[in-house]
Amino acid sequence: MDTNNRTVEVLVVGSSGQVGKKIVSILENTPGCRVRVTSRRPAEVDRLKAEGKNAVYLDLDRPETFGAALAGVDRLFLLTGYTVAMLTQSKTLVDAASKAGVEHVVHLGVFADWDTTDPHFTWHQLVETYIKASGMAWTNLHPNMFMENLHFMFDAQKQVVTTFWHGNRMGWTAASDIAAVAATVLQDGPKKHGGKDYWLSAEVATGAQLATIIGEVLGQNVSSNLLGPDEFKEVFTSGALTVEAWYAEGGVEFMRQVVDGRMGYIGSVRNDVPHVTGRPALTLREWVVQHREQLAPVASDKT
Amino acid sequence: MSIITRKNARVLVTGATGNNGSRVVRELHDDPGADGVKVVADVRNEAKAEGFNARGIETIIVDLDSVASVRAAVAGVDRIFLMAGYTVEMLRQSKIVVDAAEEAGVEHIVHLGAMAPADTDLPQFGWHLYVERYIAGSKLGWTHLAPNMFMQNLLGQNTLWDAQGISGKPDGSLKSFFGDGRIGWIDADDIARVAAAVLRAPAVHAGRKYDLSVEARSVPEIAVELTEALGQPFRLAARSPDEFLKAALKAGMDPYYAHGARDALDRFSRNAVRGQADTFDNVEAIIGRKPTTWRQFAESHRSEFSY
Repeated sequence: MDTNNRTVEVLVVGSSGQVGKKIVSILENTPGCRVRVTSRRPAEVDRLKAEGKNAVYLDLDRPETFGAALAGVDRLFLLTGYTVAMLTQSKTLVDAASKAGVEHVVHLGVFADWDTTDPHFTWHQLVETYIKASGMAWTNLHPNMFMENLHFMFDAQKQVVTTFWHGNRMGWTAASDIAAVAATVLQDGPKKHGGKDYWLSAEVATGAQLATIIGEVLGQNVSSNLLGPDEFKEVFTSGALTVEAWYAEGGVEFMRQVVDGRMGYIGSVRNDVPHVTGRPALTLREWVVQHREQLAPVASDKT
Repeated sequence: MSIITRKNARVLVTGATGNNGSRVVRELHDDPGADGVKVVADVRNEAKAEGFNARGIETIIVDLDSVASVRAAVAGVDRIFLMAGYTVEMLRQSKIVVDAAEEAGVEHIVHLGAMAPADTDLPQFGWHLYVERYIAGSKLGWTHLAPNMFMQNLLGQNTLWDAQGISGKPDGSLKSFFGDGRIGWIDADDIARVAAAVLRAPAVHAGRKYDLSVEARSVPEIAVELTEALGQPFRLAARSPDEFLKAALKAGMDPYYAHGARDALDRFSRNAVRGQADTFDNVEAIIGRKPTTWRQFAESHRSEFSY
């Protein structure tokens, strides 16, 4: 299909999430693109429409809502939830996209070698294979650990950054870079990006190095608390977070494999951001500077 | 895929102690075919190996969750019968087997899935379709088997009945969780015969998917056949899909899987799954004999149905 001479309709699933929101705001200012956002709440769809947005009702757990949402869409950004239901959501969405004549699916997956055995990572690979077999053009994005996780890992009151992979190195990518790559791919389309895998791991750092970076930017003495998979399991099962059991088990297994070396590649740089977007990826230090306000402790003497 | 006929190919059967795997092992052991396949049964521990070894069947201890274990098991294997468990872990387990098989240079894999429309939104059917596409995208030769409802299901699902405090003893009631929905049936022995035929001569069946469904019947229709064949009255004893869910959870089934199964049974009861009563004539062409009909199944399982 030649889409050079007309507006391309791009549907972004998860458009209210941390990556989806950023993709939408880029594409809204991209000539030649018409971005379609979704919500699983009809009232929210109405609100977005009233704001002049191109919004449709789409509930990932209700495939009967997909047909109308996808009709007329050229390119699809696919991001599903953090539960075992992601498999059914992705499958049914891909089936529906294929029926609706979508030409290109951009899938947000994970940073994994082809023969990974981490449960959640294998699910993403099965989704990728499923998309490839669908006949639609595809591009897979493989982000490593989101820098945004530092919001949870860094305790501003105690001035401590906690990891669950002991002192191992981890690769990092910023949500803004994931969004920039996704938006570029969605804008350029399958002719340029079809059949490509893009790896997003801009910089590696251990927990101690994270503490140094955060400490230097905030001008404080930040220490690191290097925990492991067992402690991670405790967090997941303590009730402090609501995580579905299958998914939680996958998270713990991920930490185990990073620590015991089966997924040692998690601590490596593979940075396709400049190749796709034409500008360097955000560094950890730059990210911390950008988010300095949110990372700083809420000081009582602040006026 | 290799079309060269291989003598004495080694066939690894996963799930060899289960309903399907044990039947496939038996078929291949009893009839290794013209090229003499050698069957290897996977077992979880030594105790499970004894029964096979006593029959002269080679065994190998495999933990499908362990890459090292799977790699060791597939080394030197030419063909695989793949049947993973009844939780979402089947995805990871299947992928581990396929990845290891690809690296070990395995020639052909036969995957036992489940019959469903390609665009199904029922989770566990979708999982099988994921595995199928993953296999098709690998370097392995493949054949997908997608059976519909097993005739054996009406012989009694004891753990489920036990969990409900219902006697599994034959009393003329055909306990069904999908009411009088009409569906296609197949004898598990025929599924094993198909799998064995493919594993003996995979080149003929490479790149094919076989939906296995030979006779469409509602349970009340089956009751009529049993009544005629066995000379005793049989009737439908319908249990709701929600009763299934309750019993399945009580019996320890994975909750996510159990909910999906409940939804499937509910749809079967309403004849709402597209193609659920479709039947095919492929089995005879593959195994060289007519598949078992409900009438024949009733007669050959007389002692289990009669009361």
